[in-house]
Amino acid sequence: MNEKLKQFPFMEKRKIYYIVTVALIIISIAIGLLRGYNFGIDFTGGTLMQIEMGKMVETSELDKVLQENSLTGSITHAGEGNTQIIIKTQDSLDSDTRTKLLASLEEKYGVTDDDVLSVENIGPSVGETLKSSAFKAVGIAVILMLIYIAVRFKWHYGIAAILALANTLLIVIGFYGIFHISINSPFIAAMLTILGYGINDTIVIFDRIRENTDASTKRSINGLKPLVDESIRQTIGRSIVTSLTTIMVMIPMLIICGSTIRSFILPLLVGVIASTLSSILIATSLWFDIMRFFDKSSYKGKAKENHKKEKKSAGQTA
Amino acid sequence: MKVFKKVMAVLIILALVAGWYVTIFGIGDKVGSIKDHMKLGLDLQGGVYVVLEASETDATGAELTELMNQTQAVIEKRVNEMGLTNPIVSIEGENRIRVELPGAEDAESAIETIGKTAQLQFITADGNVILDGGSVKDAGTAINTQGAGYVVTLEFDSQGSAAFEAATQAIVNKQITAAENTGLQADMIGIVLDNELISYPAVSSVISGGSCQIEGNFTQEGASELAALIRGGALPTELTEVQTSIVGPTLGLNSLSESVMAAVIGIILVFLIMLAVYRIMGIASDVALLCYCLIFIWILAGFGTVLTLPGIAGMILSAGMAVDANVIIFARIKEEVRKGKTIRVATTQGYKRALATVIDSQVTTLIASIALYEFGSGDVRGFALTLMIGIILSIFTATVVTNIYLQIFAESKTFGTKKFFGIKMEKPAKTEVKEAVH
Repeated sequence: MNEKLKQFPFMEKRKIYYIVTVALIIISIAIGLLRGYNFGIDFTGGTLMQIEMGKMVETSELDKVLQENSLTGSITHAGEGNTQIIIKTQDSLDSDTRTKLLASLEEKYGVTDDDVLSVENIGPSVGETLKSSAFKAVGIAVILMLIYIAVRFKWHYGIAAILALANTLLIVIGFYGIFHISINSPFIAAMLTILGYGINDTIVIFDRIRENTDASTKRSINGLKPLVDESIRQTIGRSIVTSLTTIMVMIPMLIICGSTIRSFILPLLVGVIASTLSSILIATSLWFDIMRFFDKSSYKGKAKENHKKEKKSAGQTA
Repeated sequence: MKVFKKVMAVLIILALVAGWYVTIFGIGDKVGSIKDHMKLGLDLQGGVYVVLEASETDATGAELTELMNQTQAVIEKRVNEMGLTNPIVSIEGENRIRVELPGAEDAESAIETIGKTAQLQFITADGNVILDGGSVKDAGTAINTQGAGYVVTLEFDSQGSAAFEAATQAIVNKQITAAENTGLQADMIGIVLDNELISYPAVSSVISGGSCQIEGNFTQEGASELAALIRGGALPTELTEVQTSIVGPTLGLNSLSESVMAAVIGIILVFLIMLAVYRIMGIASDVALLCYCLIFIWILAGFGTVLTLPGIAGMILSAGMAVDANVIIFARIKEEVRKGKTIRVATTQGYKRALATVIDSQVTTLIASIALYEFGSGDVRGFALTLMIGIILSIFTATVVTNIYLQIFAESKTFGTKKFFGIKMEKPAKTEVKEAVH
């Protein structure tokens, strides 16, 4: 541990963390909303077909093909040399319609079934089910985690942990907005991964704060500040190594794998970095402020209570 | 105890080597490598999945369940006729059926075949139904010896052949008067598939053998497709397609070999980092991680889990957490040594203290994964299951495997030194001294 880190007053600077993170979230989400989020058909319903054309074909030509089949949709290019096309329609097309569309493409450009790289077709009701069930599951998961943390630690820790988690998730949502990454079902998996990773990260630091507060005889709020700083210092080595190893698993995927996995791993990578920072800086700061606020409002009662507890625990250890 | 630990340590290494050998190369024909056991999701392997909804039915409750079970059975039959490996037909929610066909090449026609109602009926010219597809015992194809193309050959069950015999008898006896709406002449039998008249052979004699053939100027493909449909039976309800995903085989296979390569490189990097930072302790964690990965993939294969992108995400996260369990333990041991404890004491105490942290952090995530599994659906569940297995395993490998090696190293005269534990002593800070005294 170098000298600078040993001296660094983490809690002293917490206003800076709040300002930076809130600004980051507001700006990125504002950009996302202005540009419009790139919701994929998993959520909106519709059909997406990716076809290898063998050569670059102008979208205007393809628009005509769609019109001939009385379909409306957007066409984008993909792949090396833009020889692939992605047709996206808002309506979900059934098998017959898709076969017809393919037949007319076959006639004009000689593409065969083998050139169809992928087809996704989602009925409008499916997206709704996906969304509502995911929200419900995450909601229940968060409540249960809150209860567990409140029981094993104290409710202050629970609230701080969940708020820090929300902070991380919002940063990642902002990232999706800024870079216009399509939001499909892998988005849900990415958010869940970050949820799991973030809570794990935060608990490790909180565990140390709990251990240090239990051992400490000072209960004043002023004594809490260096204690939190010390706890961060004690765990920061672990935080760095853990996030480093997780990032190291992702980087080869980012470099080697195709665009599907890449567009899934990139937000995950941002999420891991955000989680690490959020657990070190935001979760601890929030916990400190929650403690400070509630200690102030009911200082006397709290102090007495703490005093009793101390005696008790002192008696137990002796 | 010391000897026991050493024996265990050697056994673990041997089991690891054997286990990984089997995983990668397999032994003989019976125990194949992991490739033969792991089911790959369509996003990795390529193929088609389609979700069909029985939206037209009025059935509810037990009746609907029964109807869906029948539908599932029929679709399973049809899918098996296609001769693909590992097709999955499952009921999703109340009135949906999910069909996954890994490696299906002609996806669109596969979807059509699955969803066809395929109601086969034999009718007489007056419009009476002689028998339907249910009475057909077997259907096959043959070259049409009398004309062009192929024919579909049918074999009836006893009830069917009796009915067929009676009907042909009635025709020969001229007891049938042609009704206009059938479009058949009095001596004809109409073969109707999905309300479409596909063949109308004329009957010249009583047919009692319990077999017959359909001539419809079929190509070989057309004939075998129809035969498959008839064998599969009719769907009890109409199905509409609500969700489809077709991944071309090239896209799928590419992403698989790429992800395997990326995962291997990633894991090697993690091993190196652990060795660089924690030296001899890194060996303990690397052995533990190799155990973890080995058991993990075989459990996943055993569960019949289908490996998909979200599943891989769950694996990355849980592998990250498995590493984290080791990191927490090692960091704590280093800390205890810096406080002035001997390597042995620091290892025992640091391990004990760190384990409480590991369990608290992992249990919190475990709770989340259980909730996600219980209340989520589809991908979310797949993710949660992977995560759950991973967390339990990581607690197991950290408590058993890592611990054994750590203790052996700590007790060893050669390795139980600060140098091998990767600890550079600094002057202990004042507060730390106080703490230690306290």
